[in-house]
Amino acid sequence: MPIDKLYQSAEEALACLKDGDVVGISGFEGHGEPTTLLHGLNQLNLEHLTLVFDMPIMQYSLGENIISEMCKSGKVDTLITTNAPQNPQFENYGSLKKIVVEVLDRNLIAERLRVIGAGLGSVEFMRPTAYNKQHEGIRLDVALIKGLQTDHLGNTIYEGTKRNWSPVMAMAARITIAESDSYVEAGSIDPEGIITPGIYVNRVVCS
Amino acid sequence: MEIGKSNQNLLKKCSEYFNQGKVISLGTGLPSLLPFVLNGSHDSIFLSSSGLVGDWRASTATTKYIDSNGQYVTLMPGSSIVGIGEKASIISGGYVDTILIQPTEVDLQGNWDIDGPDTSEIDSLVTNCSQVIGLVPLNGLQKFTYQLDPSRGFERLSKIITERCVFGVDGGKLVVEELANGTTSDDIMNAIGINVPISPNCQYYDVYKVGTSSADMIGSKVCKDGASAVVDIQDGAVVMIDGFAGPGGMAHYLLVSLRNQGAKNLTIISNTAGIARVVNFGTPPGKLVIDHSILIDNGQVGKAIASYPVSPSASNPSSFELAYRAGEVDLELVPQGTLAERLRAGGSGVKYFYTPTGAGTLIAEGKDSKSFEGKNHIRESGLVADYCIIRGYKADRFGNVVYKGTSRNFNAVMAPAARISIVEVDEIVEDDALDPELIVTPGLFVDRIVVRPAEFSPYE
Repeated sequence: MPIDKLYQSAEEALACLKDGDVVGISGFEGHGEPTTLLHGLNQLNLEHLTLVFDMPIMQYSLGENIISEMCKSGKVDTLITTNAPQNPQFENYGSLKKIVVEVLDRNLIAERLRVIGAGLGSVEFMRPTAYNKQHEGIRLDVALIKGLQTDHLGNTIYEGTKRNWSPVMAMAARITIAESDSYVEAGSIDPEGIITPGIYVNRVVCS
Repeated sequence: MEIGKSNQNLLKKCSEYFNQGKVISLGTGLPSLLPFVLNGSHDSIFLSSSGLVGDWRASTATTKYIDSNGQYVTLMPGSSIVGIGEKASIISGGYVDTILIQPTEVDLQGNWDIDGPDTSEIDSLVTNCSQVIGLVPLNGLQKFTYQLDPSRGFERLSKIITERCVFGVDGGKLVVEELANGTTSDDIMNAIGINVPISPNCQYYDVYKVGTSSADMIGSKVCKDGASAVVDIQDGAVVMIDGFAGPGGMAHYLLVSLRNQGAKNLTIISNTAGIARVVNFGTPPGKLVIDHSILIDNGQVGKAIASYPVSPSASNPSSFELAYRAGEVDLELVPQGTLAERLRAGGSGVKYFYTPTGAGTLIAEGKDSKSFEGKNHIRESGLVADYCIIRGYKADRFGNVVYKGTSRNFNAVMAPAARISIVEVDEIVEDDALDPELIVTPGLFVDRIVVRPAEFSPYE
């Protein structure tokens, strides 16, 4: 039977999530967020999640709103991000001190995701930053990413800078769910232009 | 996008401190406006935290590209797109020469601090760049202070650029190094509320005649032939050589150039140590394909770091194998995936990493080991080289490279790991010919480009 990774709805694709999961979500300043999956994620009754998300600060973003809402409603234990959240909603919730917000350097989050993607234990930089020498990986249970086109095998390409976190999160996750603008026949994407090979993508939903 | 005159002057002035052809990382706020003000009158490569590499202009329409501020932009020729993972590697790999920041506070020793959006990747940038330039408009919003609390902030500020003067740090003290004509030291003191001495060597400049460097980083990347591309490779150099096993992805023309050049006692880092010649892979009868063997036969190789250094056929040994048996060369055997990861590590500023590959085998001998998630790992080190010679398909004059099919193999991972990357291509294409989203090796990794002559044969 030919491989077909398409799920008919975000709800079905997200059914694999469970309490305590570490979930990575793509997006940079509201650009390249998997909005359909984010709406679906917000509907799930889950607890003790760890979210890895680059909180936008310069632009409005649906992802920021939904993630702040999820934090507020008690679904999230830990948020790993590059900027302290700016959303006032979030601030109110943060004052209750129920969740841990880990603000980390963007490039170090990327490298720690890649550590897992490349099957490594840890890395040590030639020029370590002041804060940490050994960097262990951030293993994602699920990555929610945003593609422009995904084929039946999961091969994915992106649109411009919407690429941002998707490739490195796809590598670091046990299960990667790609939300794509279009789902195309295998063979319709130029093999040399594929950014995320299908081996990294488990489930696909259309935007 | 409206940018005030004084900010334009400030941004133009700061471009005088860029080093030719180098990468400038642009933080949010004022630094991210730089490409719009300079409008191509520079010779640098910009890097934004969103994954843009090259040069760009503001767009009023929605485009598929945004800068660090989330501003829509259009790309100029020679630009490329990377993901956040690759961008992190560019930074930790030491490819960013200068970072531009807008500090919130500066003290009289040149220490500084920053808050808000700019902090999101400041640690990795400051750690890995050569110079930090602070942009401080004299509007009173950013603070000058006698001494910052040493427990916070950063040290290494190279220059502070304002719209009317430039501060530098001399002997650990902030001084005014340049003053715009018509501006006095009193003007500066009034603007910042603190007295900063004028350097005895202070230069004076006209604010409307700054930032006019010509934009030609590139001409210098294109070499006229293979000989000139490898001319400075010295005895004892470490050279990465691309190629998988067969002739695909091997820079044959540069290999011949290196043989003719004659540098001795080279350490070569490569997947094989030259087996294409003994396997043949469809070589025409009576001919031999060019591979690493031509360097070994010429007595140029002292050591190989490789994953497949011997011939697959014992009765048909490779040149390297014969030299190894004769005790003429050293060998460091590396599993193939580990080799790729060691190259990637070298290019990404990673000194050591732990991998489960080879744990509990001869490969692990003498290496530190550690358990992660219950699995034994061994410590491997990043590989760097003085040069790499790689085989592209097409390049533009900015050094952006695309490959053809599986000839990509080790190319893309070697280019960042070598100090000087030399690429052999079939063709140098027009500035806007390569799709920015399909560029595999951004030009910032490539130092020299040479076209493989049409009449060149990979067989001899």
